[in-house]
Amino acid sequence: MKKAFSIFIVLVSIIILSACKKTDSLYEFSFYDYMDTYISVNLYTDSQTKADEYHTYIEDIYSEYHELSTNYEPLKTDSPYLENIYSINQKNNQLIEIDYDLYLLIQKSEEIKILTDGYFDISVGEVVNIWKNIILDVNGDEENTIKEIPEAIFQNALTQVSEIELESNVIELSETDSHYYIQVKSTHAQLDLGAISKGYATQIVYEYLLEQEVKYFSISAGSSSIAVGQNINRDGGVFHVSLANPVQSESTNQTYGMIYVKDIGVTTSGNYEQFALYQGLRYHHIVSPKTKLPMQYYHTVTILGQDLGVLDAVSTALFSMPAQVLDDWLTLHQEELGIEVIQFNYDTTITTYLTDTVFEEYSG
Amino acid sequence: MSSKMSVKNKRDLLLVTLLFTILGGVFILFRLFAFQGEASTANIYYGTSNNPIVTIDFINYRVLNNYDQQVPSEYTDNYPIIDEANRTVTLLGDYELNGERQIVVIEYNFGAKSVQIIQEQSPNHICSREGISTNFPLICLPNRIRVEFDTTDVDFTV
Repeated sequence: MKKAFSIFIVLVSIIILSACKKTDSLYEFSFYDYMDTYISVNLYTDSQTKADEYHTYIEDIYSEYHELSTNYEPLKTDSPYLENIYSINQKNNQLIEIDYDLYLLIQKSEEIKILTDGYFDISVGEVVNIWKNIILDVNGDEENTIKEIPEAIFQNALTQVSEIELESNVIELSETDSHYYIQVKSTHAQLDLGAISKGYATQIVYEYLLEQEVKYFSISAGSSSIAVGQNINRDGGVFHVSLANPVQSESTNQTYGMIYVKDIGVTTSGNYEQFALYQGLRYHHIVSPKTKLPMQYYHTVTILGQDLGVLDAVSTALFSMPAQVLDDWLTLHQEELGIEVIQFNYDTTITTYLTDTVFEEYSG
Repeated sequence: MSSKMSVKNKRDLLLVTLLFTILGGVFILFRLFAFQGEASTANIYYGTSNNPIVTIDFINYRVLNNYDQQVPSEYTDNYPIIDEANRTVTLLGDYELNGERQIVVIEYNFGAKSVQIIQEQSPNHICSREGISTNFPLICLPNRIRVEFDTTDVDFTV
C-alpha cells in the first residue's frame, strides 16, 4: 500500500512538473514614440538581464531610424546624427554628408525603385504631401468620419500635382574615404521614407533577435506590419494572423480571412485607414509615382516574406500597379524574393499568390 | 485499540493528502492550460449591466468608449475617462469615503494584452491586489466594476 501510494505521488508530481515546461519567461516592450505608431515586442528569454539588453537594442534601433527618417522635424540639437530627411529636404542640390545607416537605407530604397520599375520611389514626397493634406483637411479631426472631397479641392489638387515635374534619378549617393554623401539633384523634390523606414528598422530588430537565438517572439509595428518567430503557446509554433477587411460595413466583419504563419514577416498596404472619397472612389496616402495619383486597383495588398524592409516598400509599389502589371512583375520576381501576396481587389474579390502559407478566406 | 486507531488515523491522513494532491494538481493544470489563450479584448462593466462601458481591443490597439457611465449630477466629471497617454481607463465606483464615491483606475497594456487595477478604494483592496491579469476577471467590490476578457483565435490583424 505504502509503495503504491509513493508511486502514485511520484506520478502526480511528474505530471504537474511536466506542465512547467516553459523555463523562459515572457518579456514585453512597447514603444509609443517612434515611427508615428505603436510598436510592441513580445519575446521569451531566460533572464531579466538578457531581456534588458534586448529592450535597449530594440529601442535604440527604432529611435535611430525614427530620428533619421522623419520628414516632419529637424534633428534635435544634441542629436548624434549628421542629417535627417527633414534637413536633407531643405538642402536640395547640395552635397550633404550623411550617416552610414541613413546612406544604407536610402541605397536600399533606390535598389527597390529599380526592382519595382519605379513604382516605389522615395523622391515623390511633394506629391504624397498634397494628397495626405487633402485627406487630413477634408476629414478633419473627427474620428471614423470619411468625407467627400469637394470638387474645387479635388480639381485644385489635380492642378497642383500636374504642375510638379517628377524627375527621374534625382538621388545621387556617393562615398569618399568612408564618408557618405547624398545630393538631391532637383530644385523641388522632397524625400519621403514613410513607406520603408518602419519595415527596414523592424527587419534589423528581426535579424537581431534571430542572431540572439530568440525563438519565441513577435514584433508588431503598427497595425500594418508584423514579424514573428514562433508562438510558444501553440503546437507547431504558428501565429494566427487575421487580415483586416478594408470594406467592413459592421463590427462583425472586421476581417476577411486568416493566415497561419511562423518565422516570417507580414506587411499590408491599404487604403482603409487614411482616405477621403471623390465620386465614390477612395483617395488615400499611397500615391503612384507613375500617375501622381492614388490608384484604385486594390483595397489592400498583403505581402509575406523574410525581409520587412522589402515587404514594406514592395507592398507600396504593388498597390499602384494595375493587375496585369502586378501579375507580370510577380512572375519575374516572386521566387527570387521569396514573397507571397494576397490582394483584396477593388471589386472586393481576392487574388492570392501563395506558395507555402495557408490562407483561409472567411465565407460571406 | 490504540494501534487500530493509529492505523485508521494514518489512513485518514493518507486520504486527505491524496485528495489535496489531486485537487492541487487539477488547480495547477487548470491555471496553466485552461486560460492559456491570449485575450483579444478586455471589457469593463459597471453594476449589473452586461453591456461593457469600455472595450479594450488588444488586436487593433484601440480603446472603445461604448457609452457614458451614468453618474449622479453632483459628480461633475464625465466617465469613463480614457487616458491614452497613460493607458488608463477611469470609472466611478460605488464605494464611498466621506459620502463621496471613489474612482477606479484600470491600466491596460496592448502588448502584453493585460489589465491591472492600479487605483481603487475599498475595505480590502482585493481587486487591486489581484495584480496584472491577462485572462482572469478582475472584480472590484463594493465598487461594482468588473473587467472580463474575451478570447479569439487571432494573435494579430494586419
